[in-house]
Amino acid sequence: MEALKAESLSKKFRIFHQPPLTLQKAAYNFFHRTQLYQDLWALEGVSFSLQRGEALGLIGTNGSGKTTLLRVLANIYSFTSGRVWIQGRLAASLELGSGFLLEFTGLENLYLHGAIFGLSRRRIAAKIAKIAEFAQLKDFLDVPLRQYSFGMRMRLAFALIVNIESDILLIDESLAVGDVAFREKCFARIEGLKSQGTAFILVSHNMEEIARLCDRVIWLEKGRIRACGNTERILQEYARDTRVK
Amino acid sequence: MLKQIKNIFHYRWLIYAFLVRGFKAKYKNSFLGIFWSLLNPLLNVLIFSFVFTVIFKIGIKDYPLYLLCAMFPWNFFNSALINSVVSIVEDSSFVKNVYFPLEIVPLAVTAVNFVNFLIELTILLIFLAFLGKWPGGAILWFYIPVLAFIEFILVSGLAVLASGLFVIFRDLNFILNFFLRLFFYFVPVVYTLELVPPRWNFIYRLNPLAVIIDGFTRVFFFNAPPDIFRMGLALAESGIIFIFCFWAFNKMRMAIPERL
Repeated sequence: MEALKAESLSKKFRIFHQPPLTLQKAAYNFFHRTQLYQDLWALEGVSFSLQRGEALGLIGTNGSGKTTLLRVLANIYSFTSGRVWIQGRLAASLELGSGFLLEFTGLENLYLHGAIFGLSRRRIAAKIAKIAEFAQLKDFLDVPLRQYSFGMRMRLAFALIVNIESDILLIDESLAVGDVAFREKCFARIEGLKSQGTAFILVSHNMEEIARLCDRVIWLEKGRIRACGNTERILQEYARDTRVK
Repeated sequence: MLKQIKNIFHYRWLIYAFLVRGFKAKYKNSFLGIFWSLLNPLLNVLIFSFVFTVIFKIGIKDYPLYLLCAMFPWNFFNSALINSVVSIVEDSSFVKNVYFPLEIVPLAVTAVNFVNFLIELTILLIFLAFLGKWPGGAILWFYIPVLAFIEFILVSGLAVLASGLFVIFRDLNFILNFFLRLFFYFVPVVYTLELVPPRWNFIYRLNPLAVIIDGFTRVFFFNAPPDIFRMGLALAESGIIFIFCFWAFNKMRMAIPERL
């Protein structure tokens, strides 16, 4: 069964020459008829589908449109043309943990972030124990996040995202968190969710992770799909291409 | 519109979480925090009391007390707008990374300021009672909530629009600050509506904030009911402003995350 389908998805950005724009500059440009932006196609004609229980890897160099694609799918950015079908609840974890408030305790942060994902206080409360257990942070939930190490914050963020019960999960570069043991736990958790029917789109620069978790891979280049298909084959092509460059 | 309200209601726990965060930031977990938030309006009261009772003689009896009653409604309008204009940009780490109704950010900031305003009104009432100037019961309990509600509608609409526009025009906060300083003298805070020459009076009656502040001072200070007709007009105007601001915000909402 299909969880997500994108059909010739395109996204045009306006790149401003000297951001940020101010009313003063806008007025100046209006009267002098100067154009202060140029158009950039961040995604062009991207089509793919994602099945339930499938993990799709997104690879490509920086600026190839991977994160933009995730943001479009997560309804954070609008798209210029094309169509998207989404079946079920979708949750995106981009820049993992970047929204954490350092003055707040781990527990308060979990409530705030659960609410941002649209969960009621009661539903988050029911998951707190599970999340803390997964993140191995049981004894630290009442401590302000300022006192957490970077790894602890990442663990908390990852534990939250894999425990909010969504049908589609978009994860951006956040698998390489914590120590070896914790990473193994993350992999096992993703495998477990997959077998329960959760679909994943994973963005990573770590090809080992992609090879291990993904059933299929999309290779993005300058906003277009350069290749799509069997993980092993695409990764080989990608490795060959980067080596030549 | 109805769908939007429903969506905001779905995210009510997020409003709550943002509210808690707002209070923590404002009061830094201490009772003294409330004192600090009172300092700015009290300082204004002191300055204008000096100017208008020592330098110029204004014909209002108990002028400092009058100022106190007029200053809190103004202060809510002023500080809610100044705090919310930058709110979406300040929360860019959320806006860029998760989908949620963005208007919740300025609405929560407005709500924090509103609760602060209600605390200020309570302190004002205690103070008035202490001076033996407790305003009449029925007048008070009917008009104060209505006036507060109208002002909340007015402020929250403007706050949502301002926070959205600021994402695109990053000098809007300076412009807004400047505008608010000017606007302060065009609403009856340091003077009463009665002191306004008759031929300018109609402009004041059309200004919802002028009507609201005048209403507050009538109830708290003059112990008289405000004009129901003018209040109705102010409510209608605030409603129209609210709807317009949300409509304009919705027009630009999808462009906001990519401009951060």
